[in-house]
Amino acid sequence: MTAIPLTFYLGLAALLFSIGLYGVMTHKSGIRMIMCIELMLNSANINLVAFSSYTDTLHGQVFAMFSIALAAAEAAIGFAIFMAIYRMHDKINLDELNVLRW
Amino acid sequence: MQINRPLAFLVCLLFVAVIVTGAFGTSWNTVPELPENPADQSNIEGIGMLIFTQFVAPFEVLSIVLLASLIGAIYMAKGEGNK
Repeated sequence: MTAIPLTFYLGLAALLFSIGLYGVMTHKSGIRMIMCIELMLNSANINLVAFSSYTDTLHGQVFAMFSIALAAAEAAIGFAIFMAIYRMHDKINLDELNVLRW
Repeated sequence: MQINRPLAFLVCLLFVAVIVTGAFGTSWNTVPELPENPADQSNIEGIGMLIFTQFVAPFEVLSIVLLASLIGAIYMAKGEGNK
């Protein structure tokens, strides 16, 4: 069985990260931006797991689990903030948002 | 503010070109073949041992972070009106 080289995983992660970057740069809706941020976080997770497998240690996978848990916390906080914004503006357009307190 | 989609696409293309060039041009110090143990395919046991021995302090901190973010999210999502 021929293994996939490590660089292909890194290329996949770079591609995923750039898709997330494009989404963050071009979208105005907050929910879509949060989804794209999740894409970027998960590309970092792919890198962690790939390096962890190819160096025959498990530390990277443990770090990936921590990173997934932090991503869940970030998504929960983000959606709560968007709900608060939606109550105030009736839409979530981050370009028109210019307050940090309400 | 107007969004310049071609410029964003170009920036992402340049970004991925730089990263892929760096990734493919580096000789990574890794094992050539993926290590396999046919008798026991899973590594859950190893991950659990690592979490509860070496990384137990980050694990506990993470539990506090998750609890705090849960409380904060519920507080913000509940709103002012129905307390």
